[in-house]
Amino acid sequence: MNTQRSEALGPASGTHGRAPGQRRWDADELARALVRIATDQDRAAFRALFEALAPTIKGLAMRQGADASAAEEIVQETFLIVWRKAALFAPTRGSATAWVYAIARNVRIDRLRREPAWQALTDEAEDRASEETPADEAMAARQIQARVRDVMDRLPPEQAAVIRLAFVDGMSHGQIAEATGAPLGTVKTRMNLAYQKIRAAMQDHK
Amino acid sequence: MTLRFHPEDATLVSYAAGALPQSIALLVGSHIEMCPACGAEMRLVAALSGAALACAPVEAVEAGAFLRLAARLDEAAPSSAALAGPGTEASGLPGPLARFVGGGIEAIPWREALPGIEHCRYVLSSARGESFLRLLRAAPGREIPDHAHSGQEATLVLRGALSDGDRVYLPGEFCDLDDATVHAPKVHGDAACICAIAEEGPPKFVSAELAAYLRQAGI
Repeated sequence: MNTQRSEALGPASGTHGRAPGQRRWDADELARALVRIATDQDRAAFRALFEALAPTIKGLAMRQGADASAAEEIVQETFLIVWRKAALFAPTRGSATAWVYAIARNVRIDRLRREPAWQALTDEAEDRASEETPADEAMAARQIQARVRDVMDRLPPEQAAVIRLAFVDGMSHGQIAEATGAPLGTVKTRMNLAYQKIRAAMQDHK
Repeated sequence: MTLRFHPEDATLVSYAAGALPQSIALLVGSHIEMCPACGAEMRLVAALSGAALACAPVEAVEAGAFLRLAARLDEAAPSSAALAGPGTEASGLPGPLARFVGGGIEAIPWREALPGIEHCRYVLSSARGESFLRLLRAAPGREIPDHAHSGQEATLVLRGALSDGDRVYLPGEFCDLDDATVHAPKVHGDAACICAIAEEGPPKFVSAELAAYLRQAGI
């Protein structure tokens, strides 16, 4: 994926996808921005990252039940953590976007669910995973993203739907089953199949 | 020891999405802490999230949001020691569970559910509904009566061994079931078994008498 939403002050409110006039962000640009934040405390890079990703983080928070002011706070907390933990991002391993979204997800869950135990946990697990990745196993962020995006675009609609309902709407398997009328086992099977295709595409690459 | 039984891919994907019921997420996080294979898998799963969110809704942030943020950048970060809390070694529980119960296995207020089976039950509520976590300590030979579930169910063995169908689960191993399964897991071997069971909805016991008894006893 190399189209990121930007334009913090733009006319994007309440829309899906990229609004007219939004700048397209290259995945590598975002990864480089994170590295500059880590090494130089570069505030211009931090601002670029904020403008590229904050609207999606706010949009997701609101889609999943936060009101506008809570969503703003989630954006603030997310980027405070990004600023402090930028050094833990491993650019050789994966996408800057995914890394920032994972932090936003933890903040969102922490606030919506008032569950500090779980917040601390995922943080640690991801920090550790990031530190331990050997560089020689890593793929360029752009190549991973392009491949994943390509497979996602070609998923059968029912498989794409379960992925979207989980990531965008934050629905559990049980909630997806209820919303789509499919049995729980079928929901899991669709999600397993979708993920296995994506994994196969990433491993082909190695 | 290499663990043999893991969360299904779909469960890891939903964990990455932050979409699992809270109690199940606690057990998945605990398993990942003990399982390097799933830790590695999570790195692949993470690659999905950027692509999955490519068509997510966007919402313009307030004017001045970045300036407000910039003013907070020099705030002292909370120390990671304060965040970490009790961990695996001291408590006998994986970090996420230890932090959730606020201590180790000995800190759990066990009460008898059925002869030879003690438990402690937690209801985790959130904006999106409730989920259930039950810690269970069962004596050798004990069996949990036939039951099914009204949603996803996950079990993580912490001590001893638990047999379910033709599988025997050892500490760290994860049993990932859906609502179509009726099962009667049983303590395996000579030692007591301690496990954590997370449910999206309450269990449905096959025996109406037993269900009525448990309801009456507040279990």
